[in-house]
Amino acid sequence: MPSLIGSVTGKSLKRGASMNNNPKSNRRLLRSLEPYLWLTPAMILFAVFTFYPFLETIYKSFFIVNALGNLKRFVWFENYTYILKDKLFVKAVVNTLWYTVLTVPISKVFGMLLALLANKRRRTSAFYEAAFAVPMAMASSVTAMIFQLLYVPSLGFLNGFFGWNVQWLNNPKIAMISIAVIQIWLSTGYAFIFMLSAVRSVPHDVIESARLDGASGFRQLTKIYVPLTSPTMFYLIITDLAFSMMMMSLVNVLTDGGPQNSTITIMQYIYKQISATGNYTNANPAAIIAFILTLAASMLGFLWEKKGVHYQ
Amino acid sequence: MKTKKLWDVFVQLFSTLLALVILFPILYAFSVSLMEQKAVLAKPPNLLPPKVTFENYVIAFTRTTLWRYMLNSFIVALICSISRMVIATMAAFAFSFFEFRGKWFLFALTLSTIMIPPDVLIVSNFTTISRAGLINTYLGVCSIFLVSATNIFLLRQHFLTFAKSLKEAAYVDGCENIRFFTRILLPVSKPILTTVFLSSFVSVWNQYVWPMLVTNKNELRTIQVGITMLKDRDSSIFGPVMAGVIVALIPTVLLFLMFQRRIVAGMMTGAVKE
Amino acid sequence: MNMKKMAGLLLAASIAAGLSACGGQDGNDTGSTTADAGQTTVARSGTEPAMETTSGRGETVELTFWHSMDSVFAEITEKQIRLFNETVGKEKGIRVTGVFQNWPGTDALTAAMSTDDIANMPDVIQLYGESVSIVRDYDRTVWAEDYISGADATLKKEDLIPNTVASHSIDGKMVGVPWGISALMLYYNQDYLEQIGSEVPRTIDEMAKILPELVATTDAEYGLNVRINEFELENWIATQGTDGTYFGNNESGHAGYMTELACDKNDSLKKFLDEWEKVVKSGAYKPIRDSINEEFAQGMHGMVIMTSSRIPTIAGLVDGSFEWGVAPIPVVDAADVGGAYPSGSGLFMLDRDNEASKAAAWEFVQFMASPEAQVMWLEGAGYIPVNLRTAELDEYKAAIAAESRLQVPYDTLMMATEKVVPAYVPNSSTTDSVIKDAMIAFGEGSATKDETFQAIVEGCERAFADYYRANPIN
Repeated sequence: MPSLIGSVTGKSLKRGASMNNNPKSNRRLLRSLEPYLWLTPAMILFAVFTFYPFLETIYKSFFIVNALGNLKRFVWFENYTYILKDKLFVKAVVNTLWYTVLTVPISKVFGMLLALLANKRRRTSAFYEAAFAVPMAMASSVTAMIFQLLYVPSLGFLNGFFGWNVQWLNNPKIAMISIAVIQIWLSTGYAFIFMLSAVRSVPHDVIESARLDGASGFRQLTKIYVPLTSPTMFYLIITDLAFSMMMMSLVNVLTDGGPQNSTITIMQYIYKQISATGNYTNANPAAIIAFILTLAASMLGFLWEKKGVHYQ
Repeated sequence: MKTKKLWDVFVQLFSTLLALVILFPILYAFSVSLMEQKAVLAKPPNLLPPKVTFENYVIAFTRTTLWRYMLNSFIVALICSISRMVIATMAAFAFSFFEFRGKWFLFALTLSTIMIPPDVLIVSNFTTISRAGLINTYLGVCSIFLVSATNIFLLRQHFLTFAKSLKEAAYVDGCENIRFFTRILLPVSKPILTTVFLSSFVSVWNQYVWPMLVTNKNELRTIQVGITMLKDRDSSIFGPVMAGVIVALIPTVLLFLMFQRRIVAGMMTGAVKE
Repeated sequence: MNMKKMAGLLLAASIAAGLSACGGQDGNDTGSTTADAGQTTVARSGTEPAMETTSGRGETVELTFWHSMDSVFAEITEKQIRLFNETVGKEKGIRVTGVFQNWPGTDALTAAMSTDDIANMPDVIQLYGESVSIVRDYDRTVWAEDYISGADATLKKEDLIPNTVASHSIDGKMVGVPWGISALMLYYNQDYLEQIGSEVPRTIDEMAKILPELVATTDAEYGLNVRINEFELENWIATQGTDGTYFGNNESGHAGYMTELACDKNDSLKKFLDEWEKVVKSGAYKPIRDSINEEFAQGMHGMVIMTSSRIPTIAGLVDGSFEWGVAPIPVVDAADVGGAYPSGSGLFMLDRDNEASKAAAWEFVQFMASPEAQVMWLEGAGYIPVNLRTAELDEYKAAIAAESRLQVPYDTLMMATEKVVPAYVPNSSTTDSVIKDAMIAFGEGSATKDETFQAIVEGCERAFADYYRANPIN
């Protein structure tokens, strides 16, 4: 019977298949093609709906393109230098990075803490587990509308109930933070449910022996829980990084990039270029730059994988 | 022990309070959906409706064909989550259990898809779908959601944590790849697969831009589009929107509660023990 | 194995159900051109002139109408469509289906335009001024001028409010037909004004004077609340002079393309800022917008300036707790023509290579601008009926009797001249942000009058340069 782990180099053919007969070498061909076959559906869909349009975008980013997407004039890198000189675009990049720094680490930490809190099954577990996870089921735009109500400075609930007078979305200094709070609320729910799964799968005997050894809660956390849940944490960080760099819906609903352009993000910039003015000439290079930035950020994350993520 | 019991109660109390704080925005939205327009933004602010009214829900259901939209959303989300689950498990299987040329490259390629801004792809995808004659079809709406790199990534992480012993054990048994996949790997991964299914469902359920663009017949619109129609862009009338929001939330929350037990059952640990 | 099989079966079943469900209903128009082909053969079989529909043959012409109306406006739109289908539509064999598109309603249109995807274009589309630039040079756009001047048209230019015609014309020819029109108005708290013994201010100067009094004497927190975006600023520019003033060159884009500001060169911007400085210095002015409706309705402001379409909303919120009214916005100079320009959207027709559809589209459009359809705006929304003959209808009289304030915006538009029109501003979302940021800074006192002037002019120049770089005029 053929072995489990296929390998292109054929090392795994331990049962001594002869290499002369046609059916056997056909099977070997199939064996070496097998991984690719498993990948085929995914790759085809990616190729059609992601790679092809993206390559088209890269190509078009070197042209002046009109509102209907027709190529007008080849300009090489001029589009890129044009938007990099645009103060608005630079601000968008800075805002996006600031926003990512605000939301990604905090929501992961909160998610982890909540997971540890909910780890042990108790009588009321079902209730608070579900509650912690529910933000994950909310759509961004809908959540934005709810918080919009809460944030109204003059008559909204937050200011009214606590007697504050904070200009949540009108103060350039804190508008981004107000938006980040919403995203943290959303992301923590998502992080929680994955971390709960991961935390609960830490083997009991490991925890027991650590406790018997006299390890404190904190040591248990850092030496056991964190390393053993790191694969999931890694997934959460990488995907949330990309997701944060692409954030747009919250800003779009709440502040439209204001006040004083303090909340405009890269995607919001691209969206306005496309939707409001049909300016693909600016949108295309901006998208490429967004991609490069996100790629760079993710690569940093992958460097951490080598060091910090432990698979069994 | 007494202290243990006390601690237990304390933790539950704390968790419940925290849960209420986290649930607050949703509870507030529910409360607003039952308020008259005058009461929504008032001084002093109203937490609970001073006068409960179901008018907003009536408006939500009469102004748009919300039922139809929910059905559409449900079909689309169901098809896409199943598709994502199937395709992602297959791809993650390849990435975690095989060695092959170009593995790292293909994995990087897969991951890179989440870093590509979706807005610039939309028009091009619209053209593709239009040329395929799939505008105003469920398949057209589902098309770009059938696969998700985040799911592949997640499952790859999960598969990689399997004790080497599992792989060895199956190998000793002389299992065919496909049989290993269907008979051992999948059943054992039920919790994580449930999570993948749920998060995909929610994600597709909450989609808005693409379903709007690729359908120009009212019968095929999805629920998020319906909620937008309840909004008053101009003067922010919140009641009907919140009613729509709560209605749209119900299926996802129900689904959640149904599968909750499954998800948090924890992943398999040490299959050799079985 | 079980799970995978089940999953697979479920997937197959869902897809089958989904595809068959949609196939059954939308069989004839799943994005393909079979429907159009069918109609084309029917229509083209006789080479009659454009006004002929297929009523004689018993075939209904199906029209698609894209709009971005939400909330109560969507309801009224549906009522208008229904009324058409039941009256003129039945008579002439036309049926219109309204489809909601996300504001501003052009995403799907531009996507279809880029590949000339006729099957996924509408026959009639609602467009706001910002989007007119998309269709003004498009060869599939059917200009309303061709039809409205025709002998058979039941809608004539003379039937419409004069500056609504001008606002939808380019080079004197109408491109679209005005449909959902409103005007910028001054809302005032009558009780507060009486408390300080003042009349409704007619000029900005008068208004600036009473603001501190309002705050000092009444319960108001602010005398005036308005956030000045491009919309408000344009109104204050356009209503200047005895005849109206243009915001941008080439008659604000109505006679050629608007490529630069005109208000900085014809002094109107400076004059406005001079007067507005008085408002800023009064210390009783709130330059940002939070929830302006509710704040006004709860007596927090003495006056607010916003669109007339909110009159019913305010009426509902105030609910009789105080007397209030609407008036034209205060003018910059007492000699100005004043009034406001008609803002909102119009209906535009597209040629989808089908003569019957084009003729039918015109029937629909002229119905939507007719008194019967326009009077519906008054029943729940605050839009202004564009058709002059609407005032003759009983429904109109009843609506005005129920809410007399709805008469004021109409009178305001009639006050203005044909030069008082909204500008076709390129890259308006950017210029809007520029103006908004500059005026908020001015209002909060963090920018001087001259700095604000500079910021607006430079910001707009940059926005135009950006736009024309990508869309050069050839």
